[in-house]
Order: sequence, then structure tokens, then C-alpha cells
Amino acid sequence: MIDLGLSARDKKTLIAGATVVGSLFGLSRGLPAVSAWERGRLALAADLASQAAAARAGVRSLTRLRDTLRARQRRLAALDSTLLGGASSAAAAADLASVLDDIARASRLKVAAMQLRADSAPPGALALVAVRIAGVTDVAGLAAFLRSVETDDTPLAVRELAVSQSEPAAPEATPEALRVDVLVEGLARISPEKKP
Amino acid sequence: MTARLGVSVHRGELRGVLVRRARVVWHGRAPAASNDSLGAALACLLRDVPHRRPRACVALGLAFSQLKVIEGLPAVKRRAVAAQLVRENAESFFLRAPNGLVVTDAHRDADGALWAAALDALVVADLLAALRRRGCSRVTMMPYAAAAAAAAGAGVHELCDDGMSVEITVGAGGAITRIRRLPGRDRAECAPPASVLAGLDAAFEPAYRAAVAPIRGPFAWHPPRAARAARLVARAQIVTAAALFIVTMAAAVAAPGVRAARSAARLSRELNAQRSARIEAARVDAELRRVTDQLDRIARFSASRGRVTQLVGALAQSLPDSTALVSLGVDSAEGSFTALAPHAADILPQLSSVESILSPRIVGSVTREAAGAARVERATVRFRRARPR
Repeated sequence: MIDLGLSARDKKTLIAGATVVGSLFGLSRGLPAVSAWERGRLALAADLASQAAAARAGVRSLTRLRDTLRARQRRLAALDSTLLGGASSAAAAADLASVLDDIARASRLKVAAMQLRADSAPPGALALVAVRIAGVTDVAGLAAFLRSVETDDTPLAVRELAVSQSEPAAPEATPEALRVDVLVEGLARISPEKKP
Repeated sequence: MTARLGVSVHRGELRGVLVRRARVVWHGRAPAASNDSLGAALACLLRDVPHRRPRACVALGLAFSQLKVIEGLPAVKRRAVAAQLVRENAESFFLRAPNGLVVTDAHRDADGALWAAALDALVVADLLAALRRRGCSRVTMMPYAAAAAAAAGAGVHELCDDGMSVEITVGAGGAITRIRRLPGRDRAECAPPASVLAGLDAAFEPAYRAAVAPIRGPFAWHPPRAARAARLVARAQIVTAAALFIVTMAAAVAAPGVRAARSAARLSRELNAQRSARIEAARVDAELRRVTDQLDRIARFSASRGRVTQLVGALAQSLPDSTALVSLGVDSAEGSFTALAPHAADILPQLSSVESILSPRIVGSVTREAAGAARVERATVRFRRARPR
């Protein structure tokens, strides 16, 4: 062993100095590290606590959510049976045209033209489809057509209406001829296509 | 209970027993040529003890110990002061020994009498050296009479040792209340407790009583620590205190983090345990949102039905008599119509009563026409539609 020739006092001073330097070094490096670790743990614990609280609330309300979902699914199924349907928006618009054709025939509206409008929609979604009808009828026929459209079980709505009378001062014996242009919208369920 | 080595010291002989759970598991004896060789005899005895460092309790026989009531002391209340007085004036209270005396702590009995015991200092030093060489650091020494009294129970008992006999009276609390020398009796007249020492020579009874005697009992003498051992103990205490301080500070600093980490671990386990339920809840919630959204959309569409028809009906109701509509156009935001009326200006006030019509105004010029025999005015009215509530 190398003899450094240190006196007992020098040894004590050396040990005390080394201890102080080591303590200061340990504190300066260790405390920030411990503090950072502690902050991380506290943040993680707070985050997990909020997640756990949300999870507990979710699990507690699961039964109620299921009941609500079942009730609303039943209501939606009941309403679905009244909606227009088709494998695509175009098919749903064709379905709407068919319905309107029946109503027009029953209302003595002579259909001159039909224009179908349909935006594409994914399967299972609700889509708005529309049909513009141009035709000729009298006041009674127009009223019957509008009433039938607006009160039909199938949810249809008249969005635009244009009526013109070519001879407003015609004698009463002359049959009335109103040129009618109606835009009717309907809500349709786009059903998924069945694969062959 | 740890193993205890009981040693009884007699003239010319040492006897020892090793007691574990109140049972003698070893016994032995070692002859001593003289009183000066008791330490060497004990070293020989210890070589045969089947235990590395037992707690040792040495009972010094009647030849090497004295136990008596101390009389003539000034009235001192504190027992420690009285003991110190006795210790510093040992030869005034006890029979002198050629090599000095070791005085035990004083004990005050129920009557207020002060008792103390003295041990032969040379014998004590020899025995202690032998025990320390063996590594026995936990040593107790006491007079044989004190060890016997602790085990004997209340009553009057005779003790015989080294050709001397004493009679001790033990009180209800186990303390000696009287001691008296009995001249002319030998030890053969004393019988050891047969239940414990069955099959063992009665000569080992003092060693056994030393082994089972209470260590902190009265008249027990504990050797002071050696100076080096005392320094080591003091240093160890300082180091232990410093280590405890550092550990305490570290625990105080890290405790919140450790607590949070433990809490996080517990919450993680809880979340993992609820994982399937959480997935199911999220799925049900998403499906509920989708269904609710579709129901809302259907409800909004249903609420918007009939507005155009109601507008046409309200318009027909509000127009003045003899007014004919030439054309009518209604879209989602505005509408207009062309009418033939006797006075076109009468149309606007009537329209103000219709809630779904806002800001009606005549656009373009009002022209006069003949409709058959009547004169009418042709005007075009434009209006905005009220937004649904």
C-alpha cells in the first residue's frame, strides 16, 4: 500500500472534504432526477386516475346504455319500414319516383316529366333523394297531390313549387289547366347490396 | 429462548450446563488446581460446550461471593447513589478479599433495607478473560445465593456449597428478605429439584440455577465493555444514526413519487381488468350515437314537412276577394307570385298577416288590363320565407 504520509488530521479533512463534495455532487444530480421522476409518476397517476374514473363510470352506465340503445333501435326499425329504400341513392330516387307517380295518378296530375336527383351515400346510411315533377292539373288536383305527398306514411316533403296559369281570365266553362313544377324530397335508407 | 450457559464456580472445580428451552442439553465439569487457575479451568470447560457463543451466566459459589444487608449507610434515597457509596467503600461493608471486590448494584427490599453483593475481583477477572477469549460477549455474574433465590420461590431454603451452608428466606415477590449462615451443615443435606435435574448429578444444581436465573435480576453484575468495544459501539451508533437519517430523508423525498407509482400500477391493473368492459361500453356508446343521430335526422325531416303546402294555403286565405293568381313560385328561401286584382296595392297589407311570409313587396310595374268586362291590375309580388323555428 502506498504511504501518502498523511497525518490523522489531514486524513479527517480529506474524508470530510470528499464526503461534502460527494454529497453535493449527489444532491445536484440526484435531486433533479428524483424530482423529474416524481413529476412523471404523479402525472401518470393523475392521467390513469381520470381514465379509471371514466372507465368506472362507463362500466356503471353500461346496462343503462344498452337499454337505451335497444329502445332506440326498436324506434329506428319502426321508422325504417316507412323510409324509401334501395341499394343505392339512384335506386332510392327511382323508388321515390314510383311513389310520386302513384300519388300523381291518384290526384289526376298529368305528369309530363320527372327528373331524379340523388347524392351518393354509403350503405346503411340515410340519404336525401329528390324528384322534380312537371305536369298539368287543376286546383283540386294540385291540392290533392300536395296533401297526399305531405301526409303520406313515407316521409316526403315538398321543397319547391311553381304553378302557372296560362289563362287566368278564361271562362268558367273552360277546363282549368295549371302547369305545375314540384320538387319533392324523401329520406331513404341505403341498404347494403346483397351479393349473389 | 437462546441457549444459555450456566457456570458455577467452586473451590477446586467449575461446573457448567448448557440449557436450551429449560432443558439441560450438555453438562461438564473442570477441575481447578487453585483459585488462581479458575480462568484456565473455565477455558478447558468452554472447549467442550456445544455452542459457539452462548449467553453465559456465572454463579460464584459461597466461597467467592458475599450477599448481605448493608447497614450504616447514610439515609440516601437514590438507590444508584447508595450503590456507588457501597462500591467505593466495599471493604467497609464486606469481608476483605486479597484481590479486591466487585460490587453489584444495590437492591432495596420491601422493608426498605438495602442489599448488595460482592464478588471476588480476581476470580471475576480470570473468568471474564476466559469467556471473552471464547467470544462470549454477553456475560452475567451473580452470587450463587441470588441465582438460587430467583429459582426457589417464596419460603426458607438452605444452600450448601464448598462446605458452607446458608439459609435464605425468599419473599412473595421472589426477593431475598433474610440470609443467615448455618455453621456445621454440609451440602449433602441439600437436595436439588428432581424434576429438572433428573439423571444429572446434584452437583450441577448451582450451574443450572445460574443458567435459568433472570439476567436483569437483583445482584446481577454485567462487566463493562472494553474500551475498544465501546468505541466501536459508539461509532456504530453514529453510523447507524446517519444511515437512518439518510434513509429517512430519501424516503421523505421519494415518498410522493413512490406512492404515485404504486397508485399508477394499481390503476393500470384496474384498467386492464376492465378492458373488455370498456371496449363494450365504447362500442355501445358509438352505436347509440349513430342510432340517435339517425333518429334526429328523421325527426328533423318530419318536422320540415308541410311548409310549402301550408304557405300556399295561407296565401289563398289571405289574398283579397276577386284576386286571381297567374303564377306562383316557392323555393326554400323565397317565393313570388303574379296576381290579377282590382287593386294590386290591397294585396300587400293582407300578406302581412301571414307568418311564413316576410317582406312582401311588389316588383316591377303594375299594369292595368281588361279581364272581360272588368278592369284589373297585374302585379308581381316577391317575398322571403320565414325560417322554421
